[in-house]
Amino acid sequence: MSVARRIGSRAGFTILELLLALGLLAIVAQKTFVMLTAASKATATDTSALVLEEKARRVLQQVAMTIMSADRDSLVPGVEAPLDTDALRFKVHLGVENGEVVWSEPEEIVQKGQKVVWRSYVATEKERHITWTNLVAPFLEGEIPNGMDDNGNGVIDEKGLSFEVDRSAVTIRLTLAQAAGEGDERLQTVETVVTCRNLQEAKE
Amino acid sequence: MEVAVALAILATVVGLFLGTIGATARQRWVNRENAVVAEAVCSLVERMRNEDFADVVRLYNADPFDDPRGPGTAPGNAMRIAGVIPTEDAEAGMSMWITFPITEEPDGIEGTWELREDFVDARLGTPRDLNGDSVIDDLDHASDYAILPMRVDAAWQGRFSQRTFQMQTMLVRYRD
Repeated sequence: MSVARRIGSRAGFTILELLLALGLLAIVAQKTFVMLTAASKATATDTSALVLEEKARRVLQQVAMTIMSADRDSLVPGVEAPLDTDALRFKVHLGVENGEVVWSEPEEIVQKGQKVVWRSYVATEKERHITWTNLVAPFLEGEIPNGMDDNGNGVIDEKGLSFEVDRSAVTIRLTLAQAAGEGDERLQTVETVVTCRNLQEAKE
Repeated sequence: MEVAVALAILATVVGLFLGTIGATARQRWVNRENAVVAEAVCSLVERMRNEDFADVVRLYNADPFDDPRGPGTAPGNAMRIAGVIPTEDAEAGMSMWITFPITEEPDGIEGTWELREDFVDARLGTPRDLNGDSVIDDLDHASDYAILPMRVDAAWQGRFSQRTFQMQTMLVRYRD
Protein backbone atom coordinates (compact mmCIF):
# COMPACT_ATOMS: atom_id res chain seq x y z
CA MET A 1 0.00 0.00 0.00
CA SER A 2 1.36 3.43 -0.98
CA VAL A 3 1.98 6.18 1.61
CA ALA A 4 -0.50 8.51 -0.06
CA ARG A 5 -3.27 5.93 0.18
CA ARG A 6 -2.55 5.26 3.89
CA ILE A 7 -2.77 8.96 4.70
CA GLY A 8 -6.00 9.37 2.71
CA SER A 9 -7.68 6.51 4.66
CA ARG A 10 -7.18 8.15 8.15
CA ALA A 11 -10.36 9.30 9.89
CA GLY A 12 -10.35 12.99 11.03
CA PHE A 13 -12.04 16.38 10.96
CA THR A 14 -11.94 18.89 8.19
CA ILE A 15 -10.98 22.46 9.00
CA LEU A 16 -14.61 23.48 8.37
CA GLU A 17 -15.87 21.00 10.98
CA LEU A 18 -13.37 22.23 13.53
CA LEU A 19 -14.29 25.87 12.93
CA LEU A 20 -17.99 25.06 13.23
CA ALA A 21 -17.44 23.17 16.48
CA LEU A 22 -15.31 25.97 17.91
CA GLY A 23 -17.91 28.55 16.89
CA LEU A 24 -20.72 26.60 18.59
CA LEU A 25 -18.57 26.09 21.67
CA ALA A 26 -17.84 29.81 21.85
CA ILE A 27 -21.55 30.67 21.59
CA VAL A 28 -22.50 28.14 24.29
CA ALA A 29 -19.65 29.30 26.54
CA GLN A 30 -20.65 32.95 26.12
CA LYS A 31 -24.33 32.23 26.92
CA THR A 32 -23.33 30.13 29.94
CA PHE A 33 -21.04 32.90 31.17
CA VAL A 34 -23.79 35.53 30.82
CA MET A 35 -26.26 33.26 32.64
CA LEU A 36 -23.83 32.48 35.46
CA THR A 37 -22.90 36.15 35.84
CA ALA A 38 -26.56 37.18 36.10
CA ALA A 39 -27.33 34.35 38.52
CA SER A 40 -24.31 35.16 40.63
CA LYS A 41 -25.22 38.88 40.72
CA ALA A 42 -28.80 38.07 41.75
CA THR A 43 -27.59 35.64 44.41
CA ALA A 44 -25.09 38.20 45.72
CA THR A 45 -27.83 40.87 45.97
CA ASP A 46 -30.17 38.45 47.75
CA THR A 47 -27.39 37.30 50.06
CA SER A 48 -26.33 40.85 50.96
CA ALA A 49 -29.93 41.76 51.82
CA LEU A 50 -30.32 38.63 53.93
CA VAL A 51 -26.99 39.15 55.69
CA LEU A 52 -27.97 42.74 56.51
CA GLU A 53 -31.30 41.53 57.85
CA GLU A 54 -29.53 38.90 59.98
CA LYS A 55 -27.24 41.61 61.37
CA ALA A 56 -30.27 43.77 62.17
CA ARG A 57 -32.01 40.89 63.94
CA ARG A 58 -28.90 40.13 65.97
CA VAL A 59 -28.64 43.72 67.20
CA LEU A 60 -32.39 43.82 67.84
CA GLN A 61 -32.17 40.65 69.94
CA GLN A 62 -29.27 42.10 71.90
CA VAL A 63 -31.25 45.26 72.63
CA ALA A 64 -34.40 43.28 73.46
CA MET A 65 -32.67 40.88 75.84
CA THR A 66 -31.06 43.77 77.70
CA ILE A 67 -34.34 45.65 78.10
CA MET A 68 -36.13 42.48 79.14
CA SER A 69 -34.19 42.39 82.39
CA ALA A 70 -34.80 46.09 83.11
CA ASP A 71 -36.91 47.54 85.89
CA ARG A 72 -39.98 49.05 84.19
CA ASP A 73 -40.03 52.04 86.50
CA SER A 74 -36.41 52.84 85.75
CA LEU A 75 -37.04 53.40 82.03
CA VAL A 76 -36.17 56.97 81.07
CA PRO A 77 -37.81 58.46 79.14
CA GLY A 78 -41.08 56.52 79.27
CA VAL A 79 -42.50 57.88 76.02
CA GLU A 80 -45.63 56.54 74.36
CA ALA A 81 -46.65 56.80 70.67
CA PRO A 82 -46.73 59.10 68.75
CA LEU A 83 -43.55 60.05 70.62
CA ASP A 84 -40.49 57.88 70.69
CA THR A 85 -36.87 58.08 71.73
CA ASP A 86 -33.55 56.96 70.33
CA ALA A 87 -31.99 56.61 73.78
CA LEU A 88 -33.37 54.54 76.62
CA ARG A 89 -31.89 54.53 80.11
CA PHE A 90 -32.71 51.82 82.65
CA LYS A 91 -31.50 49.67 85.53
CA VAL A 92 -31.29 45.91 85.33
CA HIS A 93 -31.73 43.23 87.96
CA LEU A 94 -28.35 41.78 88.97
CA GLY A 95 -29.46 39.24 91.55
CA VAL A 96 -30.40 38.97 95.20
CA GLU A 97 -28.07 39.66 98.13
CA ASN A 98 -29.13 39.22 101.77
CA GLY A 99 -32.74 39.03 100.64
CA GLU A 100 -32.49 42.34 98.76
CA VAL A 101 -32.73 42.76 95.01
CA VAL A 102 -29.54 44.24 93.65
CA TRP A 103 -30.00 46.75 90.83
CA SER A 104 -27.32 47.87 88.41
CA GLU A 105 -26.01 51.37 87.92
CA PRO A 106 -27.91 53.11 85.11
CA GLU A 107 -27.40 51.60 81.66
CA GLU A 108 -28.34 53.14 78.36
CA ILE A 109 -28.89 52.02 74.78
CA VAL A 110 -28.56 54.93 72.43
CA GLN A 111 -28.17 55.79 68.75
CA LYS A 112 -25.07 57.90 68.19
CA GLY A 113 -24.77 58.79 64.54
CA GLN A 114 -24.61 55.48 62.71
CA LYS A 115 -23.92 53.50 65.86
CA VAL A 116 -26.02 51.68 68.42
CA VAL A 117 -24.11 52.05 71.65
CA TRP A 118 -24.70 50.28 74.96
CA ARG A 119 -23.42 52.33 77.89
CA SER A 120 -23.05 50.95 81.39
CA TYR A 121 -22.30 52.82 84.64
CA VAL A 122 -23.76 55.89 82.92
CA ALA A 123 -22.54 59.21 84.34
CA THR A 124 -20.07 57.54 86.70
CA GLU A 125 -16.29 57.20 86.63
CA LYS A 126 -16.58 53.58 85.52
CA GLU A 127 -18.69 54.45 82.47
CA ARG A 128 -17.93 52.28 79.43
CA HIS A 129 -19.33 52.01 75.92
CA ILE A 130 -19.79 49.07 73.60
CA THR A 131 -20.82 49.58 69.98
CA TRP A 132 -23.27 46.94 68.80
CA THR A 133 -23.44 48.11 65.19
CA ASN A 134 -22.28 51.02 63.09
CA LEU A 135 -24.78 50.65 60.27
CA VAL A 136 -27.81 52.46 61.69
CA ALA A 137 -29.74 54.68 59.27
CA PRO A 138 -30.36 58.29 60.37
CA PHE A 139 -34.12 57.71 60.27
CA LEU A 140 -36.30 54.63 60.25
CA GLU A 141 -37.09 53.27 56.79
CA GLY A 142 -39.77 55.37 55.09
CA GLU A 143 -39.48 58.23 57.56
CA ILE A 144 -38.25 61.75 56.81
CA PRO A 145 -37.90 64.56 59.34
CA ASN A 146 -41.04 66.54 58.56
CA GLY A 147 -43.15 66.30 61.71
CA MET A 148 -45.38 63.61 60.16
CA ASP A 149 -45.76 59.85 60.40
CA ASP A 150 -44.50 59.00 56.88
CA ASN A 151 -44.23 55.24 57.28
CA GLY A 152 -47.58 54.79 59.03
CA ASN A 153 -46.33 53.07 62.17
CA GLY A 154 -47.93 55.61 64.51
CA VAL A 155 -44.68 57.34 65.45
CA ILE A 156 -43.46 60.68 64.13
CA ASP A 157 -39.93 61.30 62.78
CA GLU A 158 -38.42 58.26 64.49
CA LYS A 159 -34.67 57.74 64.23
CA GLY A 160 -32.96 54.61 62.90
CA LEU A 161 -33.18 53.17 66.42
CA SER A 162 -36.50 53.89 68.05
CA PHE A 163 -38.00 52.97 71.41
CA GLU A 164 -41.67 53.36 72.22
CA VAL A 165 -42.86 52.50 75.73
CA ASP A 166 -46.37 51.27 76.49
CA ARG A 167 -46.77 50.35 80.16
CA SER A 168 -44.32 47.44 80.63
CA ALA A 169 -43.78 46.82 76.92
CA VAL A 170 -41.12 48.45 74.80
CA THR A 171 -41.43 48.42 71.01
CA ILE A 172 -37.98 48.49 69.43
CA ARG A 173 -37.52 49.41 65.79
CA LEU A 174 -34.22 49.39 63.95
CA THR A 175 -33.19 50.24 60.38
CA LEU A 176 -29.73 49.33 59.17
CA ALA A 177 -28.34 50.91 56.00
CA GLN A 178 -25.54 49.63 53.81
CA ALA A 179 -24.08 50.86 50.53
CA ALA A 180 -25.26 48.67 47.65
CA GLY A 181 -22.95 50.00 44.93
CA GLU A 182 -23.52 52.68 42.29
CA GLY A 183 -24.69 55.17 44.90
CA ASP A 184 -27.55 52.95 46.04
CA GLU A 185 -28.29 52.17 49.64
CA ARG A 186 -29.79 48.97 50.99
CA LEU A 187 -32.09 49.30 54.02
CA GLN A 188 -33.35 46.60 56.38
CA THR A 189 -35.87 47.29 59.10
CA VAL A 190 -36.74 44.99 61.96
CA GLU A 191 -39.09 45.43 64.88
CA THR A 192 -39.91 43.61 68.06
CA VAL A 193 -41.80 44.07 71.32
CA VAL A 194 -40.39 43.08 74.66
CA THR A 195 -41.85 43.30 78.15
CA CYS A 196 -39.74 44.37 81.11
CA ARG A 197 -39.63 41.36 83.40
CA ASN A 198 -38.76 43.29 86.55
CA LEU A 199 -41.17 45.67 88.21
CA GLN A 200 -40.94 48.28 90.93
CA GLU A 201 -42.69 46.16 93.58
CA ALA A 202 -39.93 43.59 93.30
CA LYS A 203 -37.66 46.18 94.93
CA GLU A 204 -39.82 46.53 98.00
CA MET B 1 -15.12 9.05 23.64
CA GLU B 2 -12.65 10.57 26.10
CA VAL B 3 -13.95 14.03 25.33
CA ALA B 4 -17.54 12.89 25.93
CA VAL B 5 -16.61 11.38 29.32
CA ALA B 6 -14.71 14.54 30.32
CA LEU B 7 -17.66 16.72 29.31
CA ALA B 8 -20.09 14.52 31.25
CA ILE B 9 -17.91 14.76 34.39
CA LEU B 10 -17.57 18.50 33.93
CA ALA B 11 -21.34 18.88 33.54
CA THR B 12 -21.94 16.81 36.67
CA VAL B 13 -19.48 18.89 38.69
CA VAL B 14 -20.99 22.16 37.46
CA GLY B 15 -24.47 20.79 38.23
CA LEU B 16 -23.48 19.81 41.77
CA PHE B 17 -21.83 23.18 42.32
CA LEU B 18 -24.90 25.09 41.13
CA GLY B 19 -27.12 22.79 43.19
CA THR B 20 -25.14 23.57 46.33
CA ILE B 21 -25.32 27.31 45.69
CA GLY B 22 -29.07 27.03 45.07
CA ALA B 23 -29.66 24.97 48.21
CA THR B 24 -27.66 27.44 50.33
CA ALA B 25 -29.64 30.38 48.96
CA ARG B 26 -32.89 28.48 49.56
CA GLN B 27 -31.89 27.70 53.13
CA ARG B 28 -31.11 31.37 53.76
CA TRP B 29 -34.62 32.29 52.66
CA VAL B 30 -36.16 29.58 54.81
CA ASN B 31 -34.15 30.85 57.80
CA ARG B 32 -35.23 34.41 57.05
CA GLU B 33 -38.91 33.43 56.91
CA ASN B 34 -38.57 31.46 60.16
CA ALA B 35 -36.95 34.47 61.85
CA VAL B 36 -39.66 36.89 60.67
CA VAL B 37 -42.47 34.60 61.83
CA ALA B 38 -40.82 33.66 65.14
CA GLU B 39 -40.25 37.36 65.83
CA ALA B 40 -43.91 38.14 65.08
CA VAL B 41 -45.13 35.34 67.35
CA CYS B 42 -42.79 36.35 70.21
CA SER B 43 -43.85 40.00 69.86
CA LEU B 44 -47.49 38.92 70.06
CA VAL B 45 -46.85 36.95 73.26
CA GLU B 46 -44.99 39.96 74.72
CA ARG B 47 -47.96 42.23 73.89
CA MET B 48 -50.25 39.76 75.63
CA ARG B 49 -48.00 39.80 78.70
CA ASN B 50 -48.36 43.57 78.77
CA GLU B 51 -52.15 43.41 79.20
CA ASP B 52 -54.05 42.97 82.44
CA PHE B 53 -53.96 39.24 82.94
CA ALA B 54 -57.72 39.03 83.60
CA ASP B 55 -58.45 40.69 80.23
CA VAL B 56 -56.19 38.55 78.05
CA VAL B 57 -58.81 36.00 77.01
CA ARG B 58 -61.41 38.64 76.14
CA LEU B 59 -58.84 40.68 74.21
CA TYR B 60 -57.44 37.79 72.20
CA ASN B 61 -60.39 35.47 71.61
CA ALA B 62 -62.41 35.32 68.40
CA ASP B 63 -65.48 37.03 69.90
CA PRO B 64 -65.49 40.77 69.08
CA PHE B 65 -68.52 41.48 71.30
CA ASP B 66 -66.80 40.88 74.64
CA ASP B 67 -63.80 43.18 74.14
CA PRO B 68 -62.98 45.01 77.41
CA ARG B 69 -62.83 48.46 75.74
CA GLY B 70 -65.96 47.98 73.63
CA PRO B 71 -67.01 45.68 70.79
CA GLY B 72 -64.42 45.30 68.06
CA THR B 73 -61.66 47.18 69.88
CA ALA B 74 -59.47 44.20 70.74
CA PRO B 75 -56.88 42.56 68.46
CA GLY B 76 -58.84 39.28 68.33
CA ASN B 77 -57.40 35.84 67.71
CA ALA B 78 -56.07 36.28 64.14
CA MET B 79 -53.32 38.61 62.92
CA ARG B 80 -51.29 39.43 59.87
CA ILE B 81 -47.52 39.02 59.83
CA ALA B 82 -45.64 41.78 58.03
CA GLY B 83 -43.00 40.39 55.71
CA VAL B 84 -44.61 37.08 54.74
CA ILE B 85 -47.36 36.24 52.26
CA PRO B 86 -50.56 34.71 53.69
CA THR B 87 -51.61 31.34 52.26
CA GLU B 88 -54.26 31.41 49.53
CA ASP B 89 -56.92 29.94 51.81
CA ALA B 90 -56.13 32.31 54.72
CA GLU B 91 -59.19 34.19 55.94
CA ALA B 92 -58.87 37.95 55.38
CA GLY B 93 -55.13 37.63 54.79
CA MET B 94 -54.40 36.53 58.35
CA SER B 95 -51.24 34.53 59.00
CA MET B 96 -51.34 33.66 62.70
CA TRP B 97 -54.01 32.47 65.09
CA ILE B 98 -54.25 32.12 68.85
CA THR B 99 -55.91 29.13 70.46
CA PHE B 100 -57.08 29.03 74.10
CA PRO B 101 -58.83 26.12 75.79
CA ILE B 102 -62.19 27.55 74.75
CA THR B 103 -65.30 25.49 74.13
CA GLU B 104 -67.61 27.15 71.59
CA GLU B 105 -71.36 27.10 72.19
CA PRO B 106 -71.23 24.77 75.21
CA ASP B 107 -75.01 24.80 75.63
CA GLY B 108 -75.79 25.02 71.94
CA ILE B 109 -76.40 28.79 72.15
CA GLU B 110 -74.92 30.58 69.16
CA GLY B 111 -72.09 33.02 69.87
CA THR B 112 -71.33 31.75 73.40
CA TRP B 113 -68.04 30.31 74.62
CA GLU B 114 -66.45 29.12 77.87
CA LEU B 115 -62.85 28.86 79.03
CA ARG B 116 -62.83 25.28 80.22
CA GLU B 117 -60.52 23.14 82.31
CA ASP B 118 -61.90 19.97 80.67
CA PHE B 119 -60.99 21.14 77.16
CA VAL B 120 -59.01 18.31 75.60
CA ASP B 121 -55.93 19.35 73.65
CA ALA B 122 -52.63 17.60 74.28
CA ARG B 123 -50.66 20.46 72.72
CA LEU B 124 -52.22 22.94 75.18
CA GLY B 125 -51.62 20.53 78.04
CA THR B 126 -55.32 20.35 78.86
CA PRO B 127 -57.43 19.14 80.67
CA ARG B 128 -55.82 21.18 83.44
CA ASP B 129 -56.72 23.10 86.59
CA LEU B 130 -56.83 26.72 85.41
CA ASN B 131 -57.95 28.53 88.56
CA GLY B 132 -55.76 26.77 91.10
CA ASP B 133 -58.52 25.09 93.15
CA SER B 134 -57.00 21.64 92.53
CA VAL B 135 -60.13 20.46 90.72
CA ILE B 136 -60.66 20.00 86.99
CA ASP B 137 -64.32 20.80 86.43
CA ASP B 138 -66.65 21.63 83.56
CA LEU B 139 -67.32 25.26 84.51
CA ASP B 140 -66.45 28.50 82.73
CA HIS B 141 -63.22 29.98 84.12
CA ALA B 142 -63.01 33.08 81.92
CA SER B 143 -63.26 35.29 85.01
CA ASP B 144 -61.04 33.42 87.48
CA TYR B 145 -58.26 31.73 85.55
CA ALA B 146 -54.81 31.87 87.14
CA ILE B 147 -52.93 30.14 84.35
CA LEU B 148 -53.73 30.40 80.69
CA PRO B 149 -52.40 27.80 78.26
CA MET B 150 -52.23 29.11 74.71
CA ARG B 151 -50.97 28.18 71.31
CA VAL B 152 -50.03 30.38 68.37
CA ASP B 153 -50.17 28.84 64.89
CA ALA B 154 -48.74 30.57 61.87
CA ALA B 155 -49.08 29.57 58.22
CA TRP B 156 -47.70 31.41 55.24
CA GLN B 157 -46.78 31.00 51.60
CA GLY B 158 -43.02 30.66 51.66
CA ARG B 159 -40.81 31.43 48.70
CA PHE B 160 -40.53 27.75 47.89
CA SER B 161 -43.47 26.08 49.62
CA GLN B 162 -46.30 26.60 52.08
CA ARG B 163 -44.91 26.67 55.61
CA THR B 164 -46.17 26.54 59.18
CA PHE B 165 -44.91 27.45 62.65
CA GLN B 166 -46.36 26.70 66.04
CA MET B 167 -45.62 27.89 69.57
CA GLN B 168 -47.20 26.64 72.79
CA THR B 169 -46.81 28.64 75.98
CA MET B 170 -48.63 29.55 79.14
CA LEU B 171 -49.40 32.94 80.67
CA VAL B 172 -49.53 33.03 84.46
CA ARG B 173 -50.93 35.51 86.95
CA TYR B 174 -47.90 36.15 89.12
CA ARG B 175 -49.09 39.13 91.13
CA ASP B 176 -52.41 40.59 92.24
